[in-house]
Formats: sequence, C-alpha cells, structure tokens
Amino acid sequence: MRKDTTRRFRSLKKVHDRGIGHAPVRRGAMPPIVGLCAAAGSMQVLSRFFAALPQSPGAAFVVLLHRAQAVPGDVAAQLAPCTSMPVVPVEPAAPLHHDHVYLIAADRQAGIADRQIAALPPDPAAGPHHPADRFLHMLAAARDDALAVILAGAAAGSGAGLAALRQAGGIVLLQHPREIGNSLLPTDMHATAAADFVLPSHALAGQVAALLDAGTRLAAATAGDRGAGEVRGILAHLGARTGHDPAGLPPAAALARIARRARIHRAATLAAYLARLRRDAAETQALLRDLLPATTPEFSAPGETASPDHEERQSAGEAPDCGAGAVQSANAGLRAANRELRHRLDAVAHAHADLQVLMPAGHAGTLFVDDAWRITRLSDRMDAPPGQPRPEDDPRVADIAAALSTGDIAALARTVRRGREPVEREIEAGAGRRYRIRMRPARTPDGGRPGLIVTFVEIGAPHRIETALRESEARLRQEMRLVELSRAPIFVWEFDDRIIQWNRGSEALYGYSRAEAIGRRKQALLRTVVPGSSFAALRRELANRERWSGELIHFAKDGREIIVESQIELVSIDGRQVALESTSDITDRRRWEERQALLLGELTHRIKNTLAVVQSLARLSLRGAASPAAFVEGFEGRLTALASAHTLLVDSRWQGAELGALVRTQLEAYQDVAGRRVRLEGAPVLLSPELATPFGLIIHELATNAAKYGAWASPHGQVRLSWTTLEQDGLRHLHFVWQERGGPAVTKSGRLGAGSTLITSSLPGATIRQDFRRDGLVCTIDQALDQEGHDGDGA
Amino acid sequence: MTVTEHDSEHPRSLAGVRVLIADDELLIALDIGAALADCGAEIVGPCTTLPQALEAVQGGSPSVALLDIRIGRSTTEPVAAALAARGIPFAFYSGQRLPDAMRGRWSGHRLISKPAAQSTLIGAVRRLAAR
Repeated sequence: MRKDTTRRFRSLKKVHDRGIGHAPVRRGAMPPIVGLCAAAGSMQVLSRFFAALPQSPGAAFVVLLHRAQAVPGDVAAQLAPCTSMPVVPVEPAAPLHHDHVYLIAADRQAGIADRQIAALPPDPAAGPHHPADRFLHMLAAARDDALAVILAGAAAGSGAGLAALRQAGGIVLLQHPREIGNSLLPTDMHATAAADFVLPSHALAGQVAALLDAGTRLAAATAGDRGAGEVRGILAHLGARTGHDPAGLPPAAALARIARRARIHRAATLAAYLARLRRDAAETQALLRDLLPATTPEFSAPGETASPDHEERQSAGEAPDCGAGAVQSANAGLRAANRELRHRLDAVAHAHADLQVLMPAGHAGTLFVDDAWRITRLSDRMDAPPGQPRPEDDPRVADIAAALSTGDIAALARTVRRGREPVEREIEAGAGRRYRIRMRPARTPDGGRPGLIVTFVEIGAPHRIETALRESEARLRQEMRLVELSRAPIFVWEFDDRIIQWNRGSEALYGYSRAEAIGRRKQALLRTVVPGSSFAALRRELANRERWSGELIHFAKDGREIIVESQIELVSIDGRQVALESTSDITDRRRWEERQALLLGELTHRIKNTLAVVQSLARLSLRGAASPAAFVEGFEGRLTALASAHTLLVDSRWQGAELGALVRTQLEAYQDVAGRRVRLEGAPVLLSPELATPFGLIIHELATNAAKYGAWASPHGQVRLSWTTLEQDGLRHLHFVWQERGGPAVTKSGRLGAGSTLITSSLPGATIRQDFRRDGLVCTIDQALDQEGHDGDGA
Repeated sequence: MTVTEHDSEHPRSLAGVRVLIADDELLIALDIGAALADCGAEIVGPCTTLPQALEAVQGGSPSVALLDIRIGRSTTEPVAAALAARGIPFAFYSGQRLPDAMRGRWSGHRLISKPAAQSTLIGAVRRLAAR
C-alpha cells in the first residue's frame, strides 16, 4: 500500500515537473497513438493490459475512462503501479509524448493537435453524442495509423466512430464480449464487425505491441515518397483481380488504408504486402472492402464528410495545426451528420456483423425471420466461389426452416422472440444432418419490428466435407492419371489461349512431346483445318453450344496431314473457358474410303467401256455375217478371244501378256483342226495391255481364216508363227510373221469382211502386211513395243 | 445383213461431214467409224493415241469430232482445246464422267454415255455438223 502511494506520487510529480503547457515542446515526430475505451468494471483489464506491454512500446496511450471511473487521478494511481510509463490525467491539456499514458474523463471531449492533448467540455450544441464515438472520431482525425482498443461493453453507440477510424487507416482491437458474459449482444455486434481483432483481454497487449512494431517498420519503409510505386502496384493488382478501380480515392487515403491492412498482417514493406495479396484472394477482397466505401458515397459513414479535408492536409505534407478549437469545430460538423442516415447505417452494419462473425465457414449460415415467420433474408457468403448453390437452394436452409415451423423448436422460437435472451440448441434434420442453432431476438434492419435471427452451424460438416474432398481429390488424381496414360489423344486448351494438357496419346499421334505442346497456341501447333468450314466458325459454335464434334485436319510435327474425328467440350474452370478435345486418327480409314470410291468409279468406267466394246464387236460381226448363224459363230469366237486375252492380263495384274502365251491361248480353240500343224518360234516378249488385246484378236482372226479357207482347211497345211525383237532408234520393235504353207490355193475374196478389217486395223500403230502367196498367206506385223501412249494402263 | 434399219432410212445424211474419232478402244472406234461411214461421213482416224488425235485435228481437217475422255494415260483435253481453238464442234463419248479438272471448261459440251445406241451417236454427229 505504501509502495503504491509512492509510485502514484512519482507519476503525478513527473507530470507536474514537465509543466503543462509551459515546458518547451520538443519538436519531433508526433508519437503513434493507442486509444483505449474503458468500460464499467474494466479497471482490472486495463491494469493487466499495461502490465503486459513491453518496456517502451513507442506510442502515446490515451485512455477514455468510463462514466463509472469519474476521477482520472484515482485511476492514474491505480494504473501507475502496473507500468513504467508515466500515467497522466489530462486536465485540461498536456504535451503528447512517446511511452506515456494519458487519461481522459468520460465527460470530456478529447482533442489532439500540434503534439498536445486536451480534455475539454463537450460542445452542448452537438447534442447527445456517445463519448466513445467522439473519442474514435478524434483518433481518426489525429492520425492515420491510430490503434483503438475497445474493452468489452464500451462499444455502444460507436459504430460511426469505428468506421471513421478504420477509414482513416486506424486499426480496431476489441476485447472479446464473451469475457464479460455477454454473448454477442446486438450492441456489440457492429463493433465486432468493425473490429480487426477480437481478442481475449490477455492477448490485447501483445497484439498492440506487435502492431506498433509493424507500424514503425512500415512507416520507415514508406517515409517520404517511398512506397508510391508499391501503392500503384497494389491498386493495379486490385483492378486486375476484382475489376474495381478505387481511382477516386486520394493517394494519401489509399496509402493509409493499404498501410492499415499491411500492418494488420505485420508486413514490413508494401512490397511484402503486395506479395501477400497475390497469393491470398481473401485478403484482396478484404482490402477492396476497405478501399471501396470511400468511392461508394451511399455507403460512406458520416465521418467521411470530414475525411477529404483531413486527407488533403496530410497529402500536402503540412503539419496539422488545428488546436482544440479546430477539433471542436470538426466535431460540430460531425454532429450535424444526418442522424437518420446513421441509424440506417448502424442497422446495415449490425446485419453485416452477423454475417462476418457467424459465417466464417461454408457450413454455417444465418436466417432472418420476421414477425410473420417468414424468412426475409439469407446470409450470403461473399467469398463463395461461382457455381456454388445460392443460399436459397441450400438444403440446409430448408432443414432449418422446417425445424422452425414445427415442434419444440417452433415453440422455443416463439419464446425467444418475445424475450431477450439468446438460446442455443442442437437439432437433427433431414438426411441425418445435425445442426447447432442459436436464436436471438432482433430488429429487422428496416423498421425495428420484432423478429428472430437464427444462426446455424452444421455439426460434423467439416469432417464430412474434408472426407468428401479427399475422396474427390483421389478420384480426380486417378482420372487425370488415366487421361495421361491413355493411348487416345486427349488434350486441353484454353479457349482463348494455350494448350495446358497433352497426354501420351497426343504425343504419339502428333509427334510433339508434352513439353513441346504445353504453352503453345493450339491453332499454331496443330494448324486445324475444318473441312467445309473454318476454325473461327468452329469456335463460335463451341462458344454457343459448348460442344463440337466432327472431322478435322491436323498437322503433325513432321508436317504429315492427319484426318481426325474430334470431340470438343467447352467447360468453365475457375472462370476460365477451357476446351477438352479428344481425337481419333481416321486418316487410314478416310484414305481407304477414298481409294474404295476411286476403285468403284474405275470399275464402273471399265464395265461401261467393256459393254461398249462388246456392242462394237457385235456390230462389226454383224457387218460381215452372211447369216444369223454365221453372226453368232463370229461374235462368240471374238468374244472368247477378248475374254482369254483379258484373262492373261488379269493373271499378270494387268502388267501385260507374254506373246507366246497369248498365241497359245488364242490357238487353243483350233487345237482340234490344227493338231500338230502349228509351230511357234520366238523368245518371250512382253506385250503391254494395250497391245495384248488387239494382238490376241488378230491372231484369233488369222486362225479363224486359216481354219476356214487356209492351211488348216487342207489335211497337210502348216502354220508357222515366228517373232523377233530388234532395237531401232532406241525403241524396241516386234517383227511378227504368220506364215501358212501347204493349204489350198489362196483366194483373197473369201477373206475380206469384218475379219480382214480387224486384222488390218486393230493395231493402228503397226505396219501390217498380208501377202496372199500361192502356197499360203504370209501376214507380217511390225509393231513398236515402247510406243508413246501405250505404256500405261489405258482404259 | 444391214446394220440397222434406222440407218438405212437415212443413207447419205452425213455426206461431206468429216468426223474425227478419238478412242483408245479400237473396236469401238472402228464400229463408230463404220456406222458413220454408212451414213456417208468420212472418218478422220480412228485415233487411239493422243499424238494421233492431235495430228488429226491439224492435218485431217475434221468438221466434227467424237472424243473419249481418257486416251491411254492422259485425257483428251488437249484435243478438245485444239478443236475449240479451231471452232470445230465436238461431243464426248465415254464411260466416265468429266473429271474435276475438266469440268469447269468443258461441261458445256455434250457427253454421251458408253455404251450408246448407234442412232444416238449418228444423231449427235448430225447435230454437231448442223452448227
């Protein structure tokens, strides 16, 4: 007790010695400010807070006392033993120093300017104004990096002040309301929403010290113009990720709010904070929320009306020069703020708080039930990925709604709505889902009619979700592996851009390795040709119908053209349009089909041609025929001659016919009459298909005539067939002789007609001479074997 | 025996017409030639190779022509071009359709499908000669 008294005295003496308002003010940086809003019965918490702070935290601590703590001097005496910092009751003013504690009475209006702190009577013209709210607005005006520590129960009516402080760049720490037995009273709700940290009392000091440390380091890193580049970088990142451009915000305000988030994450530099933003989408959203209100007037808090002025001053680099009077006039401006607007904003903040506090995870939700038991609003998760079911479609909402309308829970809900106290229960609903629900009475934001706020958490959901996630991940990995291993070419490309997947089958078909294909533009790599259409048209159809299938031409790495049957599906993954394409090589099949079509065409052509030949043969035979019987005999003989020449050609795969074989085939029909009276002399000679048929026909005609009128018509007549080949002017020539001997006396007349025409005209390139000698016909044929136009497979 | 009664009704209807026949199937060429000759036409050819046909266009002074589309390994397009250059009317007589490469320029010319009745061929030549 004695020791306490001594320390208290020393503290007071320290203050006195410095001389309030008289001592020369040391010029230098204004200390960072930590404002504390005390609450009734919070003396112990305050003591512990200061005791837990490090030796020199590097800030001025300003404590707004609660009405119950009427005398600052008494409080100073109680706190002094807990801290090595001087504890100064401000009455009416004091210079502001690092590592000092200043106490402001609850009925005073605090003001900070020009490194001075003042505690003045509030302006009565401003009307009733909550002390904590006034205090927070003052902190917001004094510094762009103030910390506010709100002890449990002290936040009532301070919604606008909290918002103003945050928007100025300050950080709000809230003692967890549960510590004083209040479980999330509506009055604390919006403070909870506005707070950056909600902590048990024992953790507050440590967090404050860490934030001050982070603030010092960041301030050093952003001193002067340093950090301007990073700010631009951060705003550019924000623009790219969210599509929002907070360009309307003055640079100083943007910097203060960015620095605020950076300090919260204890980033030592803005570059470090930017790095965090890049890997943390939730933080990007959080920063956006911090930056946006200033660019969205309908959501700006009343405190905003004073902000631009403040920011301009800061950005101009001038030292704040307003004294207590200026603070008061600024406060008068605040008091003039539209109270109706504020009421509504409070209500919105209130509702918003429910979401932020009670919906940290996807398996929790909040319902607002009005006086007619209608569910009027559903909480919506801000970070819900697109494609997730909307809250209205959530089966859990249906579960809760069903529970609320029947049985015990319905009765309980009616009791809660009439009363004041929140109630918690566990319920079981459809499909075996279990929930912990909390119901508490609440006003609706728009009119204050009695209603019910129901928050619920699905019990066991995290485990179930994790299991499901693990299973689906395993399945996905398995399927990805199957795709990778597949022999069927499968690849994935971004609709507007590059190939992102390329499996083994694709490597095999196209010749590009995975490394070569991934990252390349699909169109550049495979040079897709769409038969009868265009790649642009294919893309359009894909965009419209999300799928496309059909025949495409791709080009392999070696330049080979590949005809593929392609199936493409367009899917959306993480907001990107991705095309899944699988192809199968139908090149061989197409080539085969083309060849088939070609062969069929050729066959048709040949059949028609052959029919025309037969037709001509018939008419030629008719031309020289003396009677129908003679016509049939002549026609049949010639048809057979053609057919046997044809058979030889088919056997040789249409390469040609050997002359000896051709002759023997044609003479077979005269075996009976000729017997041994025929001699063949000549080396093998290959006749082209074009020559073979007419040659066969000529031999047939000669043989027919020999049997009818020549050598074979008499018992001893002989026929000698001989041939030689010789080179002349680089071309091979065939010299062929048909020589009859020992036949009847030759008469030319009987041999004229169709047969004679065929013999003399069948080989238009040949020289054919028929010499009707006394002892028999001698027919010589001289034929060039390599004649132009006869060296291919003519029709 | 007479070839057809139809032809005997118009014995000299093609008198003075010089018909170039290009067909690598000699029997067909001979048959057509004989039929047209029966009607009084003079036959240029028959030509069974491309060089023969081209030579006949130049030296044979034909007044009309019947061309198979394929002759040996090539088509009769050069013959068609030479005839067109001289303003000599002609028709195709073939078992196949005009190939794609020839369709654009020559589809205006009549194509008689093989096999055709002799009267069809004679009628076609008569019509060509009347131009």
